[in-house]
Amino acid sequence: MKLQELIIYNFMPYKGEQKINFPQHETQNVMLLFGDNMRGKTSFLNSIRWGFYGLALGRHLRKIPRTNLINSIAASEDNWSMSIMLKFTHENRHYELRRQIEKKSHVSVPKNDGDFDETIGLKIDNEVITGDLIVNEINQVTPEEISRFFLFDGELLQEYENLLVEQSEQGEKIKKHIEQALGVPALVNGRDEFTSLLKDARRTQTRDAKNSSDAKMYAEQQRINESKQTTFEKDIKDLEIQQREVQQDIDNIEDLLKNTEAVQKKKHEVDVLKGKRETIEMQLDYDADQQRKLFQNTWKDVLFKGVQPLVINLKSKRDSLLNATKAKAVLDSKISELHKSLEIPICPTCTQNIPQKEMDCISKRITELKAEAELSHVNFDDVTEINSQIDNLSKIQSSNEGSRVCELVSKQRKMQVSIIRIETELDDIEEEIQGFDTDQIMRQREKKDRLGNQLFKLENDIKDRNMSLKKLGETQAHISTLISKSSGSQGQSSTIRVNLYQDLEALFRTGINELRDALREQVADYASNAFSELTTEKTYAGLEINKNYGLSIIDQTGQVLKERSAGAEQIVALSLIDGLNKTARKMGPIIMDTPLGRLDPKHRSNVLKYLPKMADQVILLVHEGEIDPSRDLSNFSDRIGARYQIERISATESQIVRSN
Amino acid sequence: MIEPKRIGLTPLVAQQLDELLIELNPDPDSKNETVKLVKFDIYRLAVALGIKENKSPPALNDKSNTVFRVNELDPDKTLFTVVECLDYCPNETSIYGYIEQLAEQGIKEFYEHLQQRGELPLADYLLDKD
Repeated sequence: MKLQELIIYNFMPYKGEQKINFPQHETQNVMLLFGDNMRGKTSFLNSIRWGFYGLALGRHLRKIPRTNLINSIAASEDNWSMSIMLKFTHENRHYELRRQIEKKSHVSVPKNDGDFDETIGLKIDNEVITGDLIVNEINQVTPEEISRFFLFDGELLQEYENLLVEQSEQGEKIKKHIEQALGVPALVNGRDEFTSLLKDARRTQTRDAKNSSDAKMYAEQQRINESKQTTFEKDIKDLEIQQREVQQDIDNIEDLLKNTEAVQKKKHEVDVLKGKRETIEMQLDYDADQQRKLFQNTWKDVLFKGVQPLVINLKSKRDSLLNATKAKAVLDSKISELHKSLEIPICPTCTQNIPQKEMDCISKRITELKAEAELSHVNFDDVTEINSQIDNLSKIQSSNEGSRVCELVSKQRKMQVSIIRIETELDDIEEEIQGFDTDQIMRQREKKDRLGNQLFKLENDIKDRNMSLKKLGETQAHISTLISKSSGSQGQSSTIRVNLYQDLEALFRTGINELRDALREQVADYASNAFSELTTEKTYAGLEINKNYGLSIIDQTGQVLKERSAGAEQIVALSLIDGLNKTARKMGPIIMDTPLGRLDPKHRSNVLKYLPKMADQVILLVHEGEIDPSRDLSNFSDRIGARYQIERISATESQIVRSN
Repeated sequence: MIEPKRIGLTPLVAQQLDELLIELNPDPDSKNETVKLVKFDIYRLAVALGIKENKSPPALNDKSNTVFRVNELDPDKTLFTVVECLDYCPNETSIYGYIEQLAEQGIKEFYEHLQQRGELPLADYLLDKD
């Protein structure tokens, strides 16, 4: 298949008609469509997907509703018509495929998919194809199952890493898609058909066996088993429906959470700041209590400081009084001695009489000393009074409450400043996230966790039921063999049918395994070849495939490379896509959206050189960060057949123009 | 001099004391704060500061509400002893009368500071100026 022309009308950001001609040259087979993020590269990819299959995919590969497919400006002008025309050739025949949706005449403003009429028209070599034949024709040229490998979003390449994770749900999904593309379902469906036929045949055999005396008991067992089987199958179906619903809910929440990542981050900051503020406020309350406790006794501390000079003064006064008392005692002693001299006027040393002149001097001295002693007289009540005052004042004790209160006041100020800072920061953040219901976002996050647990439980329940079903199948087969061997059942048509379908089912089961092995080997070969051209590390021995089609890099020693970079992952994913494409179909176009995002310049150069060999037509939807027109194009300029640019007209409108 | 058994404040300053208490005590809604100050705590501090700063309080300009029993306000007669020892009290005033005047003056000042600054300048009151 080779794309010739695409005409887009009112599809997503493309208002009115946009026409793109694809390169037809055999070697100049690369078309580049440059566009910045948010301008409409993925919408371009979706326009082709929608044109072929009536399906446009958003995040999580979910269908985009029709109301969102119509250009919003056209819709606001009440133009609710949108169409895609694809012209292509296949096996020398010329195809014109046109798909269109139009608002139903009785609907004023469409709200859901049912408010539109969809029409599809196909001409092959100018001959009009009608009805269901159209879908058959498209599937013959390019089946929807393989669209994943020629219409792909480079940003989703990372998903292929899940194939390396055992029991990964995402990996299982991708594996299913891969096997669809590779045609495994043809055999799987065959096996399922025979399983169904076998079930019917066993039912007939059981019915027949009821009339046979020696197989009657087996028939009853088989009947019970059949009823169990029906229950298990119904359970599995119900559980799978629930699983899909829960997964859908999780996807929706993930979308919401992804879109509000920045808000969540800010909300987390808000919570942290609020926590800090709460801690400080609690400390403030605690300190305020401590401050009041100290305050109750602060008056004693103040009084203590106030009375200290008085206590010192009193102590000094008391000391003076005590000194005066001592001085008076000395004087009194001297006076007493002098009195003795007057009474016995003989010198104690020379025993001679003391002259009258000396006696007069002694009398005079006694008078003087008496006067002095009189002055030193102390009233002991005064000393007692002072001592009592000192004792009373000394009872006033301080535990330094005043300065401790002041320390708390100063600490309180600092904490209040911290609170003001936090509140300013909170105001700023809250202004930034104003308009977002952050509580709702947090509730959704919790809901997602709950749903995750629910999903896990559902997956386990499904596994359990499948296991039980498998065991039951073995039991049924065994009983069926016993019935077949019973004398009454041998040669009966129902027994013959059971044996035949059992053999055929087993044959298909073996066939499926063999097909899978062969396909894996082929995919691995193609992918390894691609990888050897794409990688810059030439010592790698190649790629190894696992049962899920996950690819691992084998190093020069034959060991699996445990850690690989984001760039290496992308190269491996591209190799897998190439391997799958070449295994699944004859050569056709490949349309890649943002395929080079995570590659370094050397890998980018290798990929750009290799891409023209990947398909008859390669359409790359890139931004200038991936391919620098002034630098990277020189490597494969001879392979470029057409170059387009998406130009911004407004936030909701873009147009595609051809560039040189 | 006969000592009174009850002392208090003039009605105006008594009201100011009530307001000070509201200001210094926790918000009634607060769950984390439990310690509450009572009138005595502020009254005693006002007297202590007056003594420390050698203030000479004027006589009360209105009749005292005499709501405090001196036995409860000054159970171990600490304030009485200090004032007595300092001998600041004029002869015509009883010791507790003088204490009442110191409290009246101090609480009035607390209230004025609170009005002017929005908070009590505790550092000014409690830290040594040198």
